[in-house]
Amino acid sequence: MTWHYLSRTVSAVAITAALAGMAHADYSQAPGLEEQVSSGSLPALEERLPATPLVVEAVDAVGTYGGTWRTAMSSRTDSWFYRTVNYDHLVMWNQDWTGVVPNVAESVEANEDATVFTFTLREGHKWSDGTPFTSADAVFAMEMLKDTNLGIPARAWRNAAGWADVEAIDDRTFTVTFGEPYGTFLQDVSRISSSEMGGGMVKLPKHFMSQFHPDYNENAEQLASDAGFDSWADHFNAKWAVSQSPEKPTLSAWIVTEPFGEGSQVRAVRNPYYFKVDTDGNQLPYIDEVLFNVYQDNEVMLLQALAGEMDFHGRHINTVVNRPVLADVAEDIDMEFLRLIASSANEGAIYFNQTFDGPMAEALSNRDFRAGLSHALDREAICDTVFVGAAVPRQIAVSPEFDPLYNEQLANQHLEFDVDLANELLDKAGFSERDGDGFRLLSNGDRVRLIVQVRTDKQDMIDIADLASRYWKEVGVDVQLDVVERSLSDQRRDANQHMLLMEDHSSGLADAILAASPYLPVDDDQGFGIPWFYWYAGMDNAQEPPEQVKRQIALYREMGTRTEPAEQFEVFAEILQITADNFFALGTCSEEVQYSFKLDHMRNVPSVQHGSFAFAPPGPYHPAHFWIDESMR
Amino acid sequence: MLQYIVRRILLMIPTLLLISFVTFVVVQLPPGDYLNAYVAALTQEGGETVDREQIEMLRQRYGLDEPFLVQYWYWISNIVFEGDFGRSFQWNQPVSDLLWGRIGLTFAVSLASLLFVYVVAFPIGVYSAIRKYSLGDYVFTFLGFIGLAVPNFLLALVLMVVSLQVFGVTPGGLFSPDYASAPWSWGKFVDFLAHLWVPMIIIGTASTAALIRVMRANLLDELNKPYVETARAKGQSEAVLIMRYPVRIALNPFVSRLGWELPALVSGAAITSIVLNLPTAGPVLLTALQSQDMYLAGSFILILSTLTVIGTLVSDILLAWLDPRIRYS
Repeated sequence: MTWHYLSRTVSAVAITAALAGMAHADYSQAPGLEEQVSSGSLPALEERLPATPLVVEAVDAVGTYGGTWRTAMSSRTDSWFYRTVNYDHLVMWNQDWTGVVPNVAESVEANEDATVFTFTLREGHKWSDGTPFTSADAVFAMEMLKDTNLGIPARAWRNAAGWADVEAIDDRTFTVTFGEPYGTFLQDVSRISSSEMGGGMVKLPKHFMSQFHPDYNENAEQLASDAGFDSWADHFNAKWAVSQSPEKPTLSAWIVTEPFGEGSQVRAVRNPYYFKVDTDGNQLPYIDEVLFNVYQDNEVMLLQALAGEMDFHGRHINTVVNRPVLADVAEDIDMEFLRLIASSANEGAIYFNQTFDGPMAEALSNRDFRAGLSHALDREAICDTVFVGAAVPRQIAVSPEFDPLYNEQLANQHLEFDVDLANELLDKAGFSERDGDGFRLLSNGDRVRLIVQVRTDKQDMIDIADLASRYWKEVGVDVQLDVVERSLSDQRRDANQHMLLMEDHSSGLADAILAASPYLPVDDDQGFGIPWFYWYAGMDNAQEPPEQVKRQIALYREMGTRTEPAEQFEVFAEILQITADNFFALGTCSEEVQYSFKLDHMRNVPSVQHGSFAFAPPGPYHPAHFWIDESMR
Repeated sequence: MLQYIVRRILLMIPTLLLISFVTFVVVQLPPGDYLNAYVAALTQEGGETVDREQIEMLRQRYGLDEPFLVQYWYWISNIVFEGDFGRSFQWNQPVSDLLWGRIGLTFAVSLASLLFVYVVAFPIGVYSAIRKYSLGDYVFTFLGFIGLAVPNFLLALVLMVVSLQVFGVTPGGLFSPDYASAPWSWGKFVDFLAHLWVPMIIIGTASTAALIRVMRANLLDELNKPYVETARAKGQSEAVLIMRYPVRIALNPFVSRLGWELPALVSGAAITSIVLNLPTAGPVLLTALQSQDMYLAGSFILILSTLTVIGTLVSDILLAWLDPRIRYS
């Protein structure tokens, strides 16, 4: 079966074809660019646009040019920058998040067993300096991703069989080949990655980047040391970093002119070669420049929003706690809230280590024991206390908002607060003997004593764990919280030393299949079977998982051979049923209400958006077609 | 005198080496290394999963798998022999690029605050001592204690909220947006001065309050000494008398503080800088420590220490010049 990723762009291509038939004057551009063209400093618009620009259908209305989008970013690792001005990958999420549509690429086609993906680029597509963007750039980029001297993070471009091979067919066509099926490849390419290379292929212009690589320029080492770097690799890495390298050509809507790290702001201005137009043929973006104030402290960032100096923002400060503070001034500064559909498998997942080495393993591996502890929790009270009503009780599961993967048993089993049932199950599990303090005993006579490992950086989880431990003491189970710094927590987990581990996860919507570790051991950010993950990944210290987990892993591999999301969901649903039967971990609360906010004059921003990190809002809603309505100021 | 200075400068070398070593140890003390912190930051950002092999590759490339002493030698030998401070993992830039601009601004802010402290504290201190228990003395004492008691960051936050609610503007930063990334020019300098007063006052208040008290107490001690009586008996005018003798002696703490006033201002300014969003050294140092960006953190601390050691030397020399009773031995 071959599947074309064309669902939404079918109409776009049709419109583009109609436009291409018209006279050149039918495309128009920002006034500032018009002037540059007439003064001769910039080629005409038709020479800058590809033959088939991507046509964006407006959310509200066709906009007008001009203005600055004022927003903010954090001085630490920050994805907001990539979501807003840099979400231009080869393909992208469609807006209802049911699949993937072409973006920079004009089309993409997968072969039957999901090993070969053929991309076709847009004819006449150009980098922001006017140099053509061709298959040669993709071939070069893949070479760089594979270069171990550089170590560029680019997870999407490799799978179990190793790195992809990229081969140019002609200037506009190239193939990406994997040694093993990789059904979720296009989804992985659509994700953003805060390590900047989520887009791969479109962020390493060969004509610019090759000068920093010794294979292409014998003076690369000299160039690096002149610029103050230890090695050419360091120099190369500094030059491709989008937010830090203003001279690097881009395909995105805005070009960074003031890079991250120098001052207290990052500024990006219109790319005159951007490849998208609106339905009237106006070249995007509408907005002249995007200005990020860089903050070290989120409270101060909040002040900017309260002053009405943030046109649209959806990160850092859109927390449950800040909502009333913002609502207080919303009317005065003409601000409105946007709803984000939360992807939250759980905000406080409690994993029982199934591979724990010690007497407590007897309790941890007993399903009745886990079910009993689950019934002992008053989740209504926990969620209300910790999340002020913004989260609901749920086990670790896909949200009912996402029908294809919703599993009623997984979400709701053992959810009700019932102390009698809890005691009954714990007795049945074989821990009915109690000591003088009323705590239950293991078969060897030791007290049942759980140690819950929680991270210092997650206050919500600490609060949940604290409340949970009180409920568990009520049913005779002694609990000790072990609150440790994040990297120490990770180290202990990797060494399989933890007993109970708390984590939080998105993976509550379509992203469940992309970050599947809450459900089966295919990554290390879970706590029920780290050595099983090592077994799956063929690493040291592995332990062979039980049959039903092996079955999950086999299904997961089978899912990788499917290219159509609907089929992937079907296989994954089977995996989730096994997860529900295993019940290796219990959930507490899932977040439902998330929000971002914008000022009224910021137009074309959808009022309901997918909020998951994997979806990277507002990226898939084409920030290039957001505009500032001066009449509403 | 010259011999004394040379000896002090020679003594600075082992001091700084020791500081650099201790710094490096302390920066590395928390469990894990930069890459653990990096992975943590990525996953914390929102469920990003990170390729283990890639991380191992980065660890080798950054030399993080080397023993501690090898890493230290690599860092310190490059500084000593090549003037190269290494690179910041977090910023992917040579440390020196990040360092100098910020150190410059940090000292501009610190010196301005120091100046503010002296200009305000000196006359008030003198006044409070001469007019002991007057209304003015009580008012200044009261204000002084308030200034001492209120933490800088709180003062900064309050000032920002008030300025937002009353004037509708958010203060913060050291430049207007238009000048933030522009090269230095007269316009930028004026803009800088226009923004400088806010952090200058906020960072300076606590020190001002402390110095007023010190000045007042020292001067009170001096005022009752026989030489003051003698001068007064000989008919010396009161103003000249006070300024020429007791004030000069009471000035000692102003000068001897200089050496340790600088690091105090820099470290005290860190939190204020974070709140006020100043592009100074403090905030970068803090994030570098949090993310275990060891070369950046180490180099920052080393340079600040160097400046402190130099500051101490300068203040010792000034003190000797000011007070002839102090000898160079």
